[in-house]
Amino acid sequence: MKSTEHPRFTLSPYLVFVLIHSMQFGSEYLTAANKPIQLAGQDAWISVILCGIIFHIVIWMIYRILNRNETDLIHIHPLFFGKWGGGGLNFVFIVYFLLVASYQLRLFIEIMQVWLFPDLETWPLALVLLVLVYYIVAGGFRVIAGICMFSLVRHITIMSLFFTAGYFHFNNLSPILDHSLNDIIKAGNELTFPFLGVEALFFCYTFIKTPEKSQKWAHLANVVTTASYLIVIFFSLLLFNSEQLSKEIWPQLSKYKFVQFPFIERFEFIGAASQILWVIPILCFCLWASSRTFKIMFTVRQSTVLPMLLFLVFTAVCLIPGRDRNEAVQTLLSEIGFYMVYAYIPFVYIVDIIRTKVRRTV
Amino acid sequence: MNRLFYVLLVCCFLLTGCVEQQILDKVTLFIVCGFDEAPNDQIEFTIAAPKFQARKPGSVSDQLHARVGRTSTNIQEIMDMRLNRPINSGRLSVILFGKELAAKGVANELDVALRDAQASRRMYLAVVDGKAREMLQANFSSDEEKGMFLFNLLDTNVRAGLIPRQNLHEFEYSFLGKGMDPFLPLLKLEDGKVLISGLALFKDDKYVMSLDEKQMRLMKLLLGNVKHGAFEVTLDDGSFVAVENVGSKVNYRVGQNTKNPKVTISLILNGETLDSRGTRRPKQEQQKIIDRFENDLTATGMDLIQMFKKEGIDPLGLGDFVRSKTRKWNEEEWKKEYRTLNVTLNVKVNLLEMGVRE
Repeated sequence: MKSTEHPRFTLSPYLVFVLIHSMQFGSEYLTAANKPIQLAGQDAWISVILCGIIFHIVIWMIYRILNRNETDLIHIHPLFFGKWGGGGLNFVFIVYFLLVASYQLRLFIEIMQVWLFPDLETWPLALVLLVLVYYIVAGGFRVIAGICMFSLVRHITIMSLFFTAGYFHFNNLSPILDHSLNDIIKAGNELTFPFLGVEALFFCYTFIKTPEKSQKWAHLANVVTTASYLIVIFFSLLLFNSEQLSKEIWPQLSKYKFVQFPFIERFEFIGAASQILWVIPILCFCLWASSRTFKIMFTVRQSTVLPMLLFLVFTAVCLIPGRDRNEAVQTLLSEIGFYMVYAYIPFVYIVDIIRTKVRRTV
Repeated sequence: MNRLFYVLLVCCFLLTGCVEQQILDKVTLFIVCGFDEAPNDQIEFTIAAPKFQARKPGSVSDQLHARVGRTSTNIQEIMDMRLNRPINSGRLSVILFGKELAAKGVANELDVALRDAQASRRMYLAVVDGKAREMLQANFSSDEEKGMFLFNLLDTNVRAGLIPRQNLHEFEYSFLGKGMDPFLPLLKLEDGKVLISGLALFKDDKYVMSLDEKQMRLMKLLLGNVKHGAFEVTLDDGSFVAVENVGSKVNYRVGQNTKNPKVTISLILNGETLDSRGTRRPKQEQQKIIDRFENDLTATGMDLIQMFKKEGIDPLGLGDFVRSKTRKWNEEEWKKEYRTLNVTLNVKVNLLEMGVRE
């Protein structure tokens, strides 16, 4: 099958790796280690692997659904659930993407306020970043993929772990399997939120040059994400004990407090500011996906919808006042994500199977 | 639309300078601060602000500011009212605690440093035998800034293998962690000079007792592999031999019987004879030195461990070690067991070299 879009707008299959990895490994990695380690202690890494496997299955399901229908979810929805039902579901996804964008942006601004400029207002930074997002999204889907590619530079920050190596406590990793399966699954449940992002496949499918060939790249992206979270969990375990982690809000930023250079006294300024590389790709994709859904649903131009959606995100970001509210948004999003991954995608998968069976018998 | 966009973009670039600036020359960056106890549950907060003299590069003196108050943040604000440059905590490297305050608990003061987004986790902490303010008032370093002097004092001694490393992160680690207790170097002011007199041991965040310099060195050996430090031993005939540690290894083992855990600590010390007070030591006498040395270290070590057990403190982190070796470890039960815990210490000394002379 060939992509339905003009070849000028399509991506090579391998770029799906970059896209999915950037979407999955968002700035929620900063807090990803806290709750799983509270629940499963030194066995939290098992939960990471468990979660990674589940997401492989989810990616497989997504590709089965999309390959069979040869179009993206925006078109599948009306096909499966009728005009109104499908439109409603599309609308839910628009809201979801806007919420994700607002959460990511607010989290970044919050980090800026806590770590760099305590007296910074929310709105100027939100405005600046959303203007940047407009600039990128207006450039089209290939530009977004380029930004995702550029954001892979962030993996350099792993170097900061060398500075903490002197403080590792290898005792913290043993005894292995000291927690019940129930605890491990609970911790895996907490990890669902950081792993979210594979739903992007539903929306960019038609923009891939040869979509069937891209599946292995999506799986590879998930493998790299799993490995990244394993690193996060392992080094959090080695560096902190769980009592310390329960008091840290962003343990992954606290690790920059160990870095010492003769020419930079406070490296965490750079570490905190580099979070932009985690945030911008997600922001851009979310706004692109929601504006595209809007465009197809109401047959309007994407460039007219985009400023409206950006304004919505801007308002939402300004309305989230601080830590507590941001955490509430995170809880809400992780709940939505939980149902999306464990209920909605399997549901669509089953509907799809039934539909093809029924058609064949008729 | 496009024009509006470019206007916005230009605005963004121009407005970046509008956040609050902190220019290095216009803030007071203090390197050392001290906490002391004050009446009515208050604390006395002292900072030594470096003062650079114009036209005299290299000469730094300190200006001491001390105030009594309830929270250190509020005290800093009050201090700002007396300073021409506002205080910034970004360069803080050493925190001193007065002994009386340490005995009451330092958790509240530590929380300030840990919560501050600008504070390093590698800063050193120390307990002062006496009052922190009095120590900072003393003129103990003539050519160096007091904070830098104290930082270098602690840093070089940690690196040279004399005192066990304990910075803000590690203090919090063993304070919050289960089955371990923190410790800090103990500083003392003697004849106007600062010296490290030993180790202050804590129970949770409260200072309980101190170790002298000899016990502290052994403690360092028990806490991890060390490559520096000299040890002295008396022989039967009253002469002394000094042995330089060129690499010691410590190994903890838990007995298989989980009902009553038995901890075996084996310490292997590779030494080099440095100082033998003029007496010629034939090779066969080496065994004697080794035996004597082993007995000496074992006796000091066992005394130390007995003392820890009696006080119910665990600076060696034995509880944490047993936790990592047993399933379903319970802190409450461990605390009961700890006082009667069976700990054995095996010391093995190897004398490898004896300098460049026979």
